[in-house]
Amino acid sequence: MVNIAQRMTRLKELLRLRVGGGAAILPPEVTRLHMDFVMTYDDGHKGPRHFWRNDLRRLKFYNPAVPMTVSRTENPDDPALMTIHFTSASAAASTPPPVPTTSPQTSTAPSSPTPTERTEVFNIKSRKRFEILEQLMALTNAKKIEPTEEELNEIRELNAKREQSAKDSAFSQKFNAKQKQEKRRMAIARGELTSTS
Amino acid sequence: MATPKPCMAQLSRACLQLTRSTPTALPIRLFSTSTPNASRGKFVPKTVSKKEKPVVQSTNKYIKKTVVKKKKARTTYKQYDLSQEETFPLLDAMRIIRAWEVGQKPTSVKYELALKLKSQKNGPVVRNRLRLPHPVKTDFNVCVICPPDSKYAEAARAAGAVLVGEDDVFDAVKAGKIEFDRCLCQTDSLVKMNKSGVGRVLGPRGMMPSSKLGTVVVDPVKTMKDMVGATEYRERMGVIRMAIGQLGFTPEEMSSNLKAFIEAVKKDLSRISDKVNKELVEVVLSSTNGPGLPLNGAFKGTNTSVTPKELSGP
Repeated sequence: MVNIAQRMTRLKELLRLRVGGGAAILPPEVTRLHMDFVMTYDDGHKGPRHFWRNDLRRLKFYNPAVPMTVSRTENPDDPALMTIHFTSASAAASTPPPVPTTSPQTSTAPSSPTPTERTEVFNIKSRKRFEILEQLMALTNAKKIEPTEEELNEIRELNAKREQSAKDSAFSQKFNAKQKQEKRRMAIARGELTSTS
Repeated sequence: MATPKPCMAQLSRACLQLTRSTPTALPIRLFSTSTPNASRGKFVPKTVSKKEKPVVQSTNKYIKKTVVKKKKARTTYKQYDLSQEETFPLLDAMRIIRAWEVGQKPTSVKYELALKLKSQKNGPVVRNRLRLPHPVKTDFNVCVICPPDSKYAEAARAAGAVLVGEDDVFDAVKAGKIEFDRCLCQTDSLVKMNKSGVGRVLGPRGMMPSSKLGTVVVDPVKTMKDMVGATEYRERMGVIRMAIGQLGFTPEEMSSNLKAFIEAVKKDLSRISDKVNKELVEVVLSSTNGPGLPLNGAFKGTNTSVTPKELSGP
């Protein structure tokens, strides 16, 4: 297994799951989020992908009970859409989202158990990550979670460490290059290498 | 006439003088030691150069000896100090992994478990087969090689084998049409199979039946039933890794799977350890794309804010 120090450093980055865009609690009316976009990176599908990789993870972390699905298609002409499923406020208040006690074994298209009353669909093609997030927050009235002082401190520490490690790596890169050059020069002097090879 | 005696004496004197005048050692210093060495005789110790002389180590106790010992190769896998390790209860770990794997297909993404052992590099390894309470993968397509008109063929078809037969199986395999994940062989058709040359196709995929792996059997149907849901695990580099669940599993299902697996491994360890001492050191839960989270054995922690119900949906 990988060295424990290395693994713990990697775990520190889980902070990214708690702090940042998308750290918000959705109201109980929201029953499901769904994204449609294309697998390939270009032609305006970069923003949706970045949203999925960053902000949607945070949303899922703070709203573990809300199903969030992504379907990516192969055809580059397909649209990129975000669908939000809502239920009525009274239904949301009376029944907390019921979930099965055992996992459905054949769940290719997971259906939301709460009846959906209305859906909001908006285009996310050729839009930046934060634009998508802004619209989502506005439509759902999600409550944003501000990072605590402790978390901010941790972020500062991590940033400082990252800077230091960048410095260290630049320094050692320089040092290693110098050593390599010296070794090569010695080899040429001894006649083991020609200067062209 | 003079006697010949003085004459001889004179002669010998003359010879002696001659030898005296020419010194035995040449005044020029030779670079090679082989000629002087040979001239010194057979049993005289050779003169050796400074380089070849054995270094006499000083016996002065105040001078530190700088003898570089050759480092011994490590016989056990490296262990780390786990006291500073951050551990998670199962619910928290599942919440993080589910958030990380958001939007992935719940059937394709798997939870994985790594069990770190304290073990030696050589010696026996843990290797066994286990049927989890909630199997991770159940839909195997099985191919059975047996005589097509035997009772085994009928039974295998009834049990849900995709492909049954001898020659048609070999033809399909050689044509590159492999629509199964496991292959079983009945003992009667073993010779025929070995002659047919399907090993060249199936071997690299790890599907070639062999008695060593327990896939050449008398009753294929019985093995088929055993195989469904059973997974193999083995220790590699002091770690046992196995897929322990699908992403859609509920925390209760996961916890029962984890318990079953860890208990099975502990049983294996106790069976082995009469000669070597093996211990379970660390349990890490991970997933196909997710981070590795060390577990602390608890289902729910003091700071856990999620309920198992919230983690059950898709």
